This record gives sequence, C-alpha cells and structure tokens, in this order.
Amino acid sequence: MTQLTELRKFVAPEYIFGGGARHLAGRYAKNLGARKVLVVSDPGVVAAGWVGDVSASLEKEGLPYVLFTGVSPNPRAEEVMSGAEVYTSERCNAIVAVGGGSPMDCAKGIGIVSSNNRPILDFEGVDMVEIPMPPLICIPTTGGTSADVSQFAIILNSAEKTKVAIISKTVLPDLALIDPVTLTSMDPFLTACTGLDALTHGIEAFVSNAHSPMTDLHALEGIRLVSKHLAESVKNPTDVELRTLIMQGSLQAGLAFSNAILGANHAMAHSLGGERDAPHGECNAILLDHVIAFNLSAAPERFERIAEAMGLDLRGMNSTEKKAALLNHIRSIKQEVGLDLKLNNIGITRGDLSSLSKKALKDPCMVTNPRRANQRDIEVIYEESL
Amino acid sequence: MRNPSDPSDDEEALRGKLIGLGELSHRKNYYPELQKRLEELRKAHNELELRVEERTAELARANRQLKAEITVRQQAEEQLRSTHRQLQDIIEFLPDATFAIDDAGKVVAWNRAIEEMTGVNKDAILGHGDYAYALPLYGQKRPCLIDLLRRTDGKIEASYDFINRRGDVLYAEVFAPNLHHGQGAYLWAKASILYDQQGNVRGAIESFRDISERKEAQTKLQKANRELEAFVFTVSHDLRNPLNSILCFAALLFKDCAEKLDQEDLDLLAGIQRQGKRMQALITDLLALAQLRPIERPTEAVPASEVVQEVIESLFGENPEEARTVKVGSLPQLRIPKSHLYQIFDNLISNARRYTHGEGDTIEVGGRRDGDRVTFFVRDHGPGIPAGEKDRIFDLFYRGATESSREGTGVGLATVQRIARMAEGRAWVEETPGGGATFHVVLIDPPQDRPSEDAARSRR
Repeated sequence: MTQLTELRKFVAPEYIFGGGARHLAGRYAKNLGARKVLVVSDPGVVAAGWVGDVSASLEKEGLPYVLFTGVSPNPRAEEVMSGAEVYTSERCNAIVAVGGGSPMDCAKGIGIVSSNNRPILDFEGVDMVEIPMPPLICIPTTGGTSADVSQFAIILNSAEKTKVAIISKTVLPDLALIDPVTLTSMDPFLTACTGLDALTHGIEAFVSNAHSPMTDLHALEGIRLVSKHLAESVKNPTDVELRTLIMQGSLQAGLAFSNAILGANHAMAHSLGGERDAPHGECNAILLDHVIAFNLSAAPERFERIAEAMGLDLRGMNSTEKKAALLNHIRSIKQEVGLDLKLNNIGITRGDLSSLSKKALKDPCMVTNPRRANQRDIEVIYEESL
Repeated sequence: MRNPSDPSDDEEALRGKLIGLGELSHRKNYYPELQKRLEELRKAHNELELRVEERTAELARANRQLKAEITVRQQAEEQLRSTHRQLQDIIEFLPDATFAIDDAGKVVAWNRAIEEMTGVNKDAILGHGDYAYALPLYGQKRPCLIDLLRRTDGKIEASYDFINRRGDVLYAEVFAPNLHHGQGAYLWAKASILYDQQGNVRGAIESFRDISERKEAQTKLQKANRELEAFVFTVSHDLRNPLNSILCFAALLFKDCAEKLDQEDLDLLAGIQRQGKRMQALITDLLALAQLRPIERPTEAVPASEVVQEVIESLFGENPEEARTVKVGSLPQLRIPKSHLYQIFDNLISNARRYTHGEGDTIEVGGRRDGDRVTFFVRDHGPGIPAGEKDRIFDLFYRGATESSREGTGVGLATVQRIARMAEGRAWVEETPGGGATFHVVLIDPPQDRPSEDAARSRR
C-alpha cells in the first residue's frame, strides 16, 4: 500500500553526536535563554556521575539549577506532577534531562504540564498538546530508547495500570546531546534491554505501513549496527568505540521509528509494561520473534531486507527457510545478550492475556503494524511468548 | 468494495496524525504563543494606560473638590474666629466681673470688670489653672462656686451665705475678704456649665457683682426694723396695762353709779368704754404684727379647714345664728405654722363680717392648690372697696372712709400681707361679681424634699 507519491513528513531535532557532547549542556541551555534550569534525572545516573558533568557545565555558564530525581523506571503521572511543581515553585524556565527513557519522558511531561497547567494524563493521544513546552535538552545515557529524538512520551497511569502514550511533534526536544561515553556505565542487562529495544525500533519502523525512503535508510542502518555489535558491547562494556556504534544505531533506529511509527511489538510491550511495570526493553525482547512470525506474511520481502541487514545470506532459501533463518537469528541474539526470556519470567500467566490484548489493541502503535490484528491474534502471540 | 481487513476511517485518521499529517501536527514553535502573549501584553498595557488616565482624572477631580472644601472650611473657620472674637468682646465688656475656665480648670476668659475688681490683669492669669482665680478673692487657691457645678464640697459650700441651684446654674452670696485691698466685699455670684454643640462639657463661667452696699443697707434696715418692732412691742405692752385699768374703772363706775348718773353721763361713760375697747383691739393687733416671726415650716401639713373652724368658733361663739352665714368650701393642707394661718383667716373673716349687714348675705371661704401655690379667698357681698383704695388697703393704719371701715384698726390687712410675703406669696383684693370684695392670699408651699430658698438660707 505504500506508494512513492504518498505524503510523508520527516521530523528530527537538532542534535550533537559524539564523545563529550554532554559537556555542551551549559552553553546550549544559555543559548536557549535559560535563566534557571530544572535538571531531571534518576539516582542511578546521578551515581554514575553524568549529572555531575552536566551540572558542572551549567555552573560554568553561571546558570543556577534545581535537581529533580524523583523518577522511577516507567515514569508515573504523579512523578510528572511533582516535578512540574518543583519547576514552577523554583521559577525555572528550561529543562535538561539526563538519563534513559524514564527521566527523558518525565522531563517531557513536566514541560507539557508547566506550560499548559493541566494534569499530564489529559494529553493522552496524538497532537493533544496545545502550548509548546519550555526549552528542553535531552542527554541520553542509554543506547536504545531514543526518547531524545522521538515525538513520544510514555507515562504510567499507575491507577489504571496502563501506559499512556503522548505523541506530539511539540514534545521533540530542542536539542539532543548524544554522548556515547555515557553508555559505559550501563550494566550488561541494561545494555541488552536497551539494545534490543533499539533493534525492535529499527525492525518495526522498517516494516511499518507508514515507512518512507528516508526512514528506511535509518531503520536498516540501525538494524545493521545494533545486531552486529550488541553482543560484543555487552561483553565489553567499557569499549567506547563499540558503545559509539550502538549509540549510532540507536539514534538512526530512533529517527526511523519517530517518523514511520512502530507496530504490534511496541503496542503489546506497552501493555505488558503497564500491567507488570517490567523494563520496556525486556518486554520488547520477549515478544520480538513472535511478533515477526505473525507479521512476516504481510511483508515478506521487507523482512528479507531486514535479514540481509543483519548479515544473513538467504540466497537459495524458500520462504519458510528464510523465515526460520530470520527468527533463529533473532533468538540467537537474545540468547547471546542474556535476554532469552518468556512472559512467565516476568510473572504473566494465561489469565492475564485477555486484558493485555485489549489494551494492546488500543495502543496507537497498532495502527502502523503491517498486518491487521484482532483480539484473538494478539492473544495467540502472547500465548506463544509464555 | 471495502475489504474487511482494510483499516477503518478512524484508524486512517489516527495513522495520518501519527506520521505527522494531522491538522495540528507541527514542530514546537514559540512564535504563535509569543504573538498571543504580546497581544495580551499590548492589551494589558493599553488598559493600564487607560486606567492611569482615569485614575489621574479621578485624582484631579478629588483634588479640585478638596480645594473647594478647604476654601469652605477656611471661610467657616474665619467666621468662627470672628464669632469667637465677638463673644470674647461681649464677655470683655460685661458690666459684671466674669471669668471662664476650660474643662481642665484653666482660665480662658478674664474680663475688664474682674480686672478692675481684683486688680489682676488678664495677662497674669489667662492659662493658669489650679484655682488661681480664687487667690485675688479669698487669699488662697481653693475651689469656688464655679467648681461646685460638677462636684460637692461641704467645706467650701459652708463658706457661702447660701447656694441655690437651678438646673446647671448656681446662685450664691459670699464674702470675699481679699477684695478692695483687704477690706473685703460681699459678692452675688452666678456660675454655669458651658457645653459644646454635642452636649459635651467644655468648661464653666462665673460672674459676680459687688453687693456690699446693698448688703450694708439691708443690714441697717433690718436693724432699724428690729428696733421699730421692739419699740412697737414695748409701747403696746406698756399702753395695755393703763388701758386695762381705765376699762376696769369705767366698768366699775357703770356698775356702782348707774342710778346716780343721768342719761348724758351714761352716754359719755359708754363712749369711754367703746373707745377703750377699740384701743385695746388696736394694741392687740399691733402686738400680733410686731411679734410675727419668720416662718418655720412644720414637718406635718396643717389642714386649713380646721383653722377656719377655730376662727369661726372664736368670732361667732356667742352667736351661732350668725356663724351659719359663713360658707366654708374645700380647703387644702399646707406647711405654714398654724398661728400664721389663724391670723390670716381671723383678720380676713372679721374684716368681711364688718361689711356684711344685709339679710341673707353670706361670707364664702375657699382655697385650692396649684403645685407649690396655695391660694385662699374670703368673699363678702358688702359695699365693696372703692377703686382708689384697693392698693392702699393693705397699708398699716390705713382705714377706709366709710362708717364700717372706721371700726377696723388698720393693722389686720397689713398683717395678712406681711405673712403672705414671708411665705413668698402676696395678698390682694378684687371686686366680687354682683358687689362686694374678695380677698385673695397666695402662699408658696414647696414639697418637703425640695428645699426652698429659705431652706437654703437656713443651711448656714
């Protein structure tokens, strides 16, 4: 259904990529007119020292700042509201987020609430943010979420046990300072989770029914870089060159999915994350091969190009063999990075599947999945992942 | 034909929005918001300017009004000052010595008359408190009448001959030993509280008048009166004994020698007896008049009707037939000594009897009370009093020209008038409608709880 003449948009923030990019936070905050900065992070990132580097660069520019670290993995709506309260009461006028997807999504939420003055859950859906948020600089310290270049903010509604997607071009940061050095503090499990998240971004963006030549380029390159170097990077966490390659792959997969959007894999992972508060990358990884198996028939030739990007030689294989080769490769990557898990490992039982499937079907990511799925289809995929 | 697996319209719209093709999909751009805020700011600015203008105009209005009010106030103050000057001038030229104090007891006015009387200039005393005004009068700083307006002070009150209060005004007489270079002077003083428009006490004013001369004359007069009374008493008393002897002798002569004397001699003897009795009556009346003492009011009221009955019995005891011609109406009770009341009715009824000769003529006696005033009347139907005599009839020793009036002593009505005056009243005569004379006597009889001037006088 994708045609060359169809309308497409490509949105990306201004970004600076490279070792030491984090030290530019002060200069750019000042350029963006900051007088007082709210620095949003989490305790782990503070302990790793990255927040210290960033605040030093703010101090160097004479910019006062307030640190807000009340963010848990999968940021909650209440955390966003209390962050916004700090932002307002401290009379801040700019935000710098340092960390993985959680602090960055939380920072986006704080920005939305502080300029619109309404509860964060009011903004669920697409293009619901009316007034732009204050200047936001994102400094990612994980190689996968790509929240620093995406128009997504995922907030946990802990009362309803659902993840709420806020999708708007206005939540794109004003600047991303992408510094691969920051990845060196990640442990193997986090490296694996975020890496597989990035891989899923690339795959889903490439097979999305809204893909375009521009997103295809970035998606395939992201798949290639992550699938090739992830296992090595997990084994050599301090190798900055490897970290840089993963960060590059994550960035490109991010640019791809932010514009081509995602699919069933993310819809179902959001549903899982809402129900069990499990790491997002882990959820994606558990589902990845099962969702590919379901989608493959809808776009076999595009999955072939994914397999080729992963370095597989499919020549002489029939479609069944090609499918098996791709799925086996995905599984072997999962095994190699230590994420060969099942849903029951994160406490999901058969009884949860019906409600999980209902929530997944309502997720906006489902709209761009290459194959239309009904309740039963989703339940089956979950079942296979048990 | 739509394939069942085709996406619905809703999904199609959602997909369009997701890939950035929705109506509201745009990158964050501050410009529209900035413009909106600038527009709001412009509006707020304009509104502010408008308000500043309004406020300025309002202030200017208020300022003008204030200026007008100030002018009116200045005029009022000027008028007040002028009124004040006028009042000061009036006080200044009052013939009576006058001074005034404020609520703190400081002298605020001291007029020319008081300067002359005391020899103290106003410059030396204005603004001074602590009873400075008493010094030139009494030789010491002490409370005066002006200070008794709002509090009592038994010691000070005792130094006044009398003090009489009427509402907020005190009247008094006092001797001021330091006036006239230590010669002293009797003063008649009057003090009053001064109020402002709201009824608050603002001070007090006192005036006094030198009554030393009058007082001296009064003292002389009283002394002369006393001497005269003593003389009358002595003369009457000394005359009575020889007269009684003459009458006795005449009676003996008539008894023993009636057969020896002819008719002419008998007539002469009767003449001696008649004239002697008249003289006896005259002396009795004069003694009664001379013996009149100032009224001391009894604590119990005296019923006038009882007194009148006694008088009638005494006058007509031998002739009950005649007694019935006296018709007595209702009579009030009053606090006047019984002896005084007796003399009033004795004189008036015997006077009326002298002029009552006609068959069936009556004498009417009555009275009534109007508050403090008690009025009695005694009415006859005789010939009446000629117009020219009405004023003189109460004079001592005055007797009318008629036959009947010749019988009187000319002392009785004077005694009635004297008693009436002693009781703060008076006596007068009017013509009885249809002929005759009606004598009226008014006596003042204040209630017991409110002392009269006499009571105040007797405080000393």
